[in-house]
Amino acid sequence: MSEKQPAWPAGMDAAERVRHVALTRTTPRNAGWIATEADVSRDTAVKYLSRMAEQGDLEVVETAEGTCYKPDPVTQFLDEVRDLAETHSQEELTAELRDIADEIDRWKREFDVESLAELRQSVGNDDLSAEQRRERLDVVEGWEYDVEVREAVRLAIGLTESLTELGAGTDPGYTPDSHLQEG
Amino acid sequence: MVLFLAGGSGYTRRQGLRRVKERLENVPGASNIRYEPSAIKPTAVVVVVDIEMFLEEPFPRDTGRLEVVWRPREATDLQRVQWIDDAVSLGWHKDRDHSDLGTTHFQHEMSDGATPHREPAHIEVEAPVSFLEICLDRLPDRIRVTSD
Repeated sequence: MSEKQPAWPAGMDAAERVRHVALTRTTPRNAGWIATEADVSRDTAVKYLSRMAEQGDLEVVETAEGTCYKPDPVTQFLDEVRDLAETHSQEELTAELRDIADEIDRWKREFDVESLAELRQSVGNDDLSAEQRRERLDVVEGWEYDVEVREAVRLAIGLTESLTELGAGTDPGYTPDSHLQEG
Repeated sequence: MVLFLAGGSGYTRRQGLRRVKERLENVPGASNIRYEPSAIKPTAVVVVVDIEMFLEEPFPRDTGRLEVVWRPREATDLQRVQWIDDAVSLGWHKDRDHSDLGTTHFQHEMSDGATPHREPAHIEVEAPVSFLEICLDRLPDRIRVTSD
């Protein structure tokens, strides 16, 4: 028998469970589905989902399954940018950009393509075996992830620089310029 | 201008893996918990586990490694919870490799290189921490039977 009944860590309360289920979705789901996954009543799920939608954490979409919820991509992206800026040094962020660039260069050489779009198109080539096609699909997914993280890291570096310029930097060792203090 | 890629969900992935890491910090005997390949671009969470502390009983081997992979994709959600020690590599996989065994399957390989054993795992939940919790619940028994 399949285990539809979800299991949850002892410490996670209803709000956290609904939040975790809703924020790790890739396709929109309705409150009933989310309630079952989060092991809460439908009313409880609706309460927390509505609140998260009001706060901009979730996007609400109407589908054949009724009112559905999925993570709001802009909120998620901005949250990640802030988290990266707050939890990593400029050096760490810059090193990650270098690693991502190296990895993409390696894929370009390995698959003899100039871009992600070109690799995506090549997956349909008739002369590829099923194994090669799957390998390319995996690299496409890794490449997309690299691009997403790269954009967030670039903005995080820019955010830290802007905050430092404004004297609101997260670096505890930072001392603002005197003219900024006066201003 | 930020471009959102078709089916991309890198930020969703970081969200889910962060929770997975928090959960693994509470596993008895857990140490050296880290993101792979990096904290900025995680694809997995890896933890070293003291087997006797985890099982709360004597065991012939000292430590193992638990690797939790989660890759959210539209329609091709991938999850793996894999236990690896000197004698075995076993785990629960939700991927496209053995769809004849259902959405998820359990796989067990001995270090002697014999053909892996596979069976349906019957895990239908999708939230990464919930999936992990079911695997953590089943893991002790799966490790115990490899002590012979």
